Amino acid sequence: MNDPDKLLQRLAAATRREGDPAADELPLGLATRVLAKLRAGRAPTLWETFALGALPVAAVITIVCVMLGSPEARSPDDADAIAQVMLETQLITSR
Amino acid sequence: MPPTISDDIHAWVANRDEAAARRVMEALHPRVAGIIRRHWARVEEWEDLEQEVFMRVFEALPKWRPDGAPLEHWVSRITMNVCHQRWRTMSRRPEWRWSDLSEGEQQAFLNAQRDDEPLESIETREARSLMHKLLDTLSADDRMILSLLHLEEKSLEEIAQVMGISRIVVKVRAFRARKKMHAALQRLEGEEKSSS
Repeated sequence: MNDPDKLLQRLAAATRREGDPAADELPLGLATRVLAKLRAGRAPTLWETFALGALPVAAVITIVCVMLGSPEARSPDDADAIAQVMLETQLITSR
Repeated sequence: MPPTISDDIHAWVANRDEAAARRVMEALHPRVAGIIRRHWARVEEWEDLEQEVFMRVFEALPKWRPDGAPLEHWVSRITMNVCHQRWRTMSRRPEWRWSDLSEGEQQAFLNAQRDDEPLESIETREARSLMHKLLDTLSADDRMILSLLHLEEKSLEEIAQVMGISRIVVKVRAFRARKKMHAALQRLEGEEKSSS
C-alpha cells in the first residue's frame, strides 16, 4: 500500500499546477449584473424572508399560549377568549 | 496616467462610479475566478459564485483600508468564505468508489501513486476533478481547512485567521480531515487492486 499522504500531496500539487487562462477574462454581462444588483439593493435572503413571515405567526402562538396558561383562561369561556385573541391578532397582522 | 485600483475603489465608494467598479472587477476577476475554479467542480455554478463574491466585495469595500490587509488577500478571503458557505449547503457527502471515477481520474490517481512519474504526467484537470471528489466526502469545515492547506498553501495561522478559530483547532481538524482523506484514498487503492 502506498503512502496515502504522499498521494494526497501529489494530487494537490497537480491540482495547483495550472492556472486557467479563461479565468483572466470577466464573463460577458457579469459586471452589468453585479452593478444592477448593487443599484437595486440586496434582496433579503430566504432565511430573512422566512423569519419576517414567521413573526406574526409566532406572536399569535405566544398569545394563545399565554391565554391558555393563565388561570382566567381556564374558564368555560376559554374558546371565546381564544377566538377573541385570534380575531384581534388577525386584524393587526392584516394591516 | 490611468487610475490605480485604489483610485477606482475610492471612486466607487465615494461617488458610486460604475466605470471604476467595472475596472475593479476586471482587475480582481483572475484571482476570484482562479480560486473558484480550484475549489468548485461544477462549471455551471462558477459564474453564480463569482457574482456572489463581487456582491460581497462591493458591499464590504467601504470597510476596506489600504493600510490594512492587501486587497488581493482580502478578496481571496471573501471568495473562500463564499465557497465555504456553498459547501455547507451541500447535504450529500458521497462515498466515491473506484468504478465511479472517470477514466481520466483513474489515470490521475495511478500516476499520482507512482513516485517515479513526474507531476507533469498527472493531467491537471483530472487531478482537480479527483481532488474535488475526495473533498466532497468531507464536512464543509474540514473541506475548507484542507483546501486552504493543500490547494491554497496557507499556513495554519492564516487558516485560523480566515476561519476565526484557533491555530490548535485548525491543526487538530486538519489532522482528522487528512485521516479521512487517507482512508478514502486507501479504499480507492484497494478497489483498484481488486479490479485489475
